[in-house]
Amino acid sequence: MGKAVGIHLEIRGLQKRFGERLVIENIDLQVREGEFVAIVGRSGCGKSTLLRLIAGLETPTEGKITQDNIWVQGINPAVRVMFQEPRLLPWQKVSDNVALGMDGKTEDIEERTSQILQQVGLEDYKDEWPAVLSGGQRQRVALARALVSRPRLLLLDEPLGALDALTRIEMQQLIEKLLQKQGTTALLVTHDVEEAVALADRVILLEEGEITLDLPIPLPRPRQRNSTKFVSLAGRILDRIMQTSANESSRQVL
Amino acid sequence: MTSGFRPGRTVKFMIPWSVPVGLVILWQLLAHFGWISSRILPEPAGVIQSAIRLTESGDLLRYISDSTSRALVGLVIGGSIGLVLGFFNGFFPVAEKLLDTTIQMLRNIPHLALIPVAILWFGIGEESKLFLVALGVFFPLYLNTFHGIRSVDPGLIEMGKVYGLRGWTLFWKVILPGAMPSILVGLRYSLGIMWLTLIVAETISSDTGIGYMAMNAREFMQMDVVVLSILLYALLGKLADVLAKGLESWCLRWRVNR
Repeated sequence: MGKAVGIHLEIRGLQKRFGERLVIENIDLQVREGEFVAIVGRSGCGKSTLLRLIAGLETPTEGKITQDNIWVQGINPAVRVMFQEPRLLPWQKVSDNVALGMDGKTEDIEERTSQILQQVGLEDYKDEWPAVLSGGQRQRVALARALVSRPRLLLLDEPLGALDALTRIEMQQLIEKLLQKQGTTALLVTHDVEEAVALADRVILLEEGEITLDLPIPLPRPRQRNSTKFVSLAGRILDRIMQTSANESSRQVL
Repeated sequence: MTSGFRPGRTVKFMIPWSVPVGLVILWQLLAHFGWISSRILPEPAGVIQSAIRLTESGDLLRYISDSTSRALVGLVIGGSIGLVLGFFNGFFPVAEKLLDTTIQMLRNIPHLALIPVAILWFGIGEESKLFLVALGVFFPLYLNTFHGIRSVDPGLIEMGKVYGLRGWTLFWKVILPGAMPSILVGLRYSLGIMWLTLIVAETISSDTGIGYMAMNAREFMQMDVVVLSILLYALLGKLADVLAKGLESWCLRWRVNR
């Protein structure tokens, strides 16, 4: 059982238009193998579109996305996505949901499924229907489903946005632990600056389809949320977001 | 505090049947004491006797099986065409554009209005009845399948694609189960229409089947046999509904606590 190695992601001159509307203006971005990058920004800044472009769910208008120097077009099988909603199939048991899209021998799949369910703490629920689970449990199943095939790139599209504060912190710790173990490259889209600083090696601010801040987070893991460094980093990013929007509104007044 | 009436299992089973059974008892009493003439409504005992007589001669079983097989063959033919066309139009917007207007126009013709046409085309044999039943069951299944496919959560389809599901696998694991609740509603509608159509078709022209038994008995003033055939239709209709409900609760067993 070798450690899965994350992908090296490179984005060049990426642009996306929906009709007249320019959603992604011009993005260049490099993500190293096994790096965890968080993308923050106000709603409508294009961060979800960026993720969908990387997943191959949208086609870029301009530019290239390469993974390990290979130009990928269409849906990339090495990528797994965790959505804002769990998107579990309600007609499949928890274990079948986790095993969705896995190839290989049945025993092998079963073993890996129960192993990952154990890691997310849901081994007792493997024969349940998703309907009986709580919101947090469903999102844990979705995390297990995303990680069971040891993807080389994991895209997280505000996966914790709908959870309550306590469950969210629990999930953040779980994601951090499992991703470090697997060595997967990960991109997390979030509007929660604290979440970004807690999880990511690097935080990127996206504004009107462009990267306006690229900040490394050199804090040791596991991170102390009340440490001075943590608070000041989070504050800096938040100030930056608020400041630009303040400038914008004053510009509009003038 | 509401102590409430908590019926046991047997009682729960008996409650829905108490009304029909009560009505039969009342009917027996009324007929027995001569308050209703046997020419208007024969007594239940008489109906049972004629049922026994017809069973012994083997006619009853033959009529029931003839009617049932007509109903089922018609359902399979019309239903599968409706299902396939529903899938087809649900998947391919081009096909929907091409066909949907036509289907909607045809749907608004009462299919029973086509009885004269069916008789002229197919004669009074099996074909005309199968044609009418198939036509009747086609529309509910088509419409509900189409609607079911269109109402599958696009988020789930997208998720399936990201997780490597393509073509048939995507259909079996995501689209078909997602459309299933709607398809089953269509099936239940179809079963109702199936019996209705068959009764009308058999009553108008036939040489076997429950409808034929009823019309034949009318000519000989055998009121008990006429009533028997009406009761048979009621029972067969109920049976079909029970089976459909069973299928539904099995197919949709994932809908817990809802």
